[in-house]
Amino acid sequence: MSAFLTRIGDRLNPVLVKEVRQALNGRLFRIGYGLSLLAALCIAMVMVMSSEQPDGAQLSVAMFGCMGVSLFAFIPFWSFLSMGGEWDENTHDLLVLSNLSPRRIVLGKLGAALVQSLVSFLAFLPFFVFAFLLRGVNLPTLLMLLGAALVVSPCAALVAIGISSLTTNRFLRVLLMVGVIAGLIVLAIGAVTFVGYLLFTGFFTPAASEQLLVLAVILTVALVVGGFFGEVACVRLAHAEENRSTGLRVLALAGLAGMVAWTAYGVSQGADLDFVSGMAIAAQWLLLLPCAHFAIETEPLGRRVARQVPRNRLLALLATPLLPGGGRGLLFWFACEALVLGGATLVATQVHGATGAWSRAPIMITGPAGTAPTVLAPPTIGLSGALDAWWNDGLWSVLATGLFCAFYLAVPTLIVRRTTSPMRRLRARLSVLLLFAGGIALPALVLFLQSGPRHLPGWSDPWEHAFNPFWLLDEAWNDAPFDVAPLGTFTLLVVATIALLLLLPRARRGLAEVAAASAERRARERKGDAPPAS
Amino acid sequence: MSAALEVEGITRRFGDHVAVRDVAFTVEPGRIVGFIGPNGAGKTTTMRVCSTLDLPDAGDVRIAGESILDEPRLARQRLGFMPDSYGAYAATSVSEYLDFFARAYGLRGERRREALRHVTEFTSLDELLDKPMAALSKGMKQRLCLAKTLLHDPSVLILDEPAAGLDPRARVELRELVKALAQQGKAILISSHILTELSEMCDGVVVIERGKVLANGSVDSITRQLKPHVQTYVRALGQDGALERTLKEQPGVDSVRPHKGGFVFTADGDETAVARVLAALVAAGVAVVEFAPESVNLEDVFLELTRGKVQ
Repeated sequence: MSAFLTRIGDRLNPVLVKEVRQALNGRLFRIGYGLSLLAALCIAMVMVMSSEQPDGAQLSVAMFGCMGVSLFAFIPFWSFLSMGGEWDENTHDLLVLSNLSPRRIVLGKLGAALVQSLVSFLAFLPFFVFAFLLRGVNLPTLLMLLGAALVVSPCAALVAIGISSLTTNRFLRVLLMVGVIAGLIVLAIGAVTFVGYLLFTGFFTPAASEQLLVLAVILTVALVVGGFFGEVACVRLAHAEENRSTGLRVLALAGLAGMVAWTAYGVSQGADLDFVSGMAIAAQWLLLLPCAHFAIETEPLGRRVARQVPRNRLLALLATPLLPGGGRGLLFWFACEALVLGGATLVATQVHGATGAWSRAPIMITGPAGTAPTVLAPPTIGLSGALDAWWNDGLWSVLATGLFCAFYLAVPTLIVRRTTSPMRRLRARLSVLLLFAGGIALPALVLFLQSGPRHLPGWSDPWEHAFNPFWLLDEAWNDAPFDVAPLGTFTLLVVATIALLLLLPRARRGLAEVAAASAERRARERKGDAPPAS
Repeated sequence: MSAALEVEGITRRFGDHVAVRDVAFTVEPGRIVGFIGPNGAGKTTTMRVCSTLDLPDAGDVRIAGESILDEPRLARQRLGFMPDSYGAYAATSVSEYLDFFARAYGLRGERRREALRHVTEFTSLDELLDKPMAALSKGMKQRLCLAKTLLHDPSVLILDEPAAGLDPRARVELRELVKALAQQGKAILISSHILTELSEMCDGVVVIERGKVLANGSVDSITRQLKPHVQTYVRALGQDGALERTLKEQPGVDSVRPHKGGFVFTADGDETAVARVLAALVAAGVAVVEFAPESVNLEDVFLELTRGKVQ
């Protein structure tokens, strides 16, 4: 038994062992853990003593509040400090030089957060059992919420780890810490409020599919966002010559696939076209930030990555958008846009099929008694009819969002296309946000200073201009592109076309580089040069 | 003998500033090479590139044959890097710290215990295993850091300022440890500002200033390059005038100057020319009491080569 335990101990992630040891010995865990348990005990005693018939649901919510402080605030915050400490305590270099891969380091820290969550959970379990015995709480609901909390807490820890790894500068990390603390407080309060709402409504009933859906969406978002930030931390720990982009791109794609899946599920449950176009637009905005990051990466493939490009031409072509490099980041964005537009169109045609607005069946008009029914031609013809309806009822909004994204991507990527300076790249990435805000505010200011409210078609207010996505999307939501805002639409089309034309050569160069690397690998292997060992 | 550490013309820029420019040198197994230069010369940048912690803009480094660009993971397995800033974990004892890194280097079971036993004995840390890291002195911390660096038995060691802040005894101990490691066949690149320490342990030196290598080789060979003529110190019993006159009369003797109660002169040619001068002095009846080659140490070489300029 002892030998077995030793073997298990040998195979445990060393970061997990160290982090758990440090966490359990650390002040933050002891104080957070002790205070939340003490608060739970006091609240439970007060609630039991002050009422003849204490309510189990109320006690559960109170206990969840106490546990939430540990799970959603203290533990993720500890993870933030732990990751930042690797740089602050000068252990980062020693750690990355060891045999531990970046993923193992991040998983070790995640595991430590999970162990702490479990310790907290086990400490609070008797309180929840007590609350259940008091009645008034639905057991499946309680179990599901506790399970969800155990998923969301490590995801929050992953987000904290990812954010903490963003900078090596201590001052900037302090600024990030303030943001993380604020975010964790909002998360803890939001989680307890949500749990309170669900527990008081006794949500886990056959009629409560909407609440279940909300919970499932929250878990999906938590897993995707947590995974993304975890990958960000891995990238920050990886050697500069390693592939630091493909993992993030795959996760961004996974997030997109998750959104498509939820859209398809929503449609199967009777959601309308607005839901489809809303999800497509949300997906595009959410993808803009990671795509801006990819599009501003250093252009050439590293030596090591170039050696790993698939030798097969087709595989190399398919892998191109997932490989590092700014041009390939643009290709990735093009591919995502194609997936969003294609997926949304596919789902939208299903919506039409389901609601009967688009039907292949002929219409039968029954005549007076004794006469034969009149058969009319189908009101819409196949796919084109469905696309026509989709174009007028959402597709234009989705397309317009894509054009906005092209504009936001084009300017920063053109600025940095020749620079290798990480600082300039960071500035370019941040400029996407500035471009968004400036694109809305500056034309509005100019229009206002020029002549106050204008009365040209589509320009009746300073805020109503082509670079304000809120306005144009609102206009486009239920109308064809040139019906309401012709000038705005025209301007956006022209600007976005120029942006796309400027982006295309970069994307083409990115593709050509992969093709060359693939050809080089084929030539190398023909000469008998062995492929790399790892 | 093939080099264990090969630095192949690395260049590293930070924006417009070139920190290291086309630096190239090698370190063979079993040899200790001192890496010296003024502050801001590019020593730490070069060492960080060699240790795979930074990426060169041009050039490559091979650690035991593995390129840091093509196979950084394999290169790291063969490398032990001791940074100038010591990294410690809070609330951790010496044994926990070493155990963590032994696990991090993939050592398991008996192999890990053996490695821990070996490095703690080698660095004389076996008495301090239960001590919290926060309670260690500077010398003990340096020894602990060296022990951590040796855990996975690397063939190349890069030590950045390991003697900084150590007292004389700790410096001597560290010097002996480094020498013992070289005897085990490890290639060692070591930087330090304490040149007397380096001169006593190094087989060769690389002198760097403003990101460029100024000299590379053994101290003797660099000295010969810098000062091709032999300098000799001579002192006689109360015959300074006769001594100076006789020296100046000798063919091939140049730059006779007073020094520490005697004279230092430069003789063209090798040691035969110096012997001829001594014979002439004796023949002239000068009572020579001291006659020795003027020693040139690493400090002289360093001061001769560098101008103390930073970039």
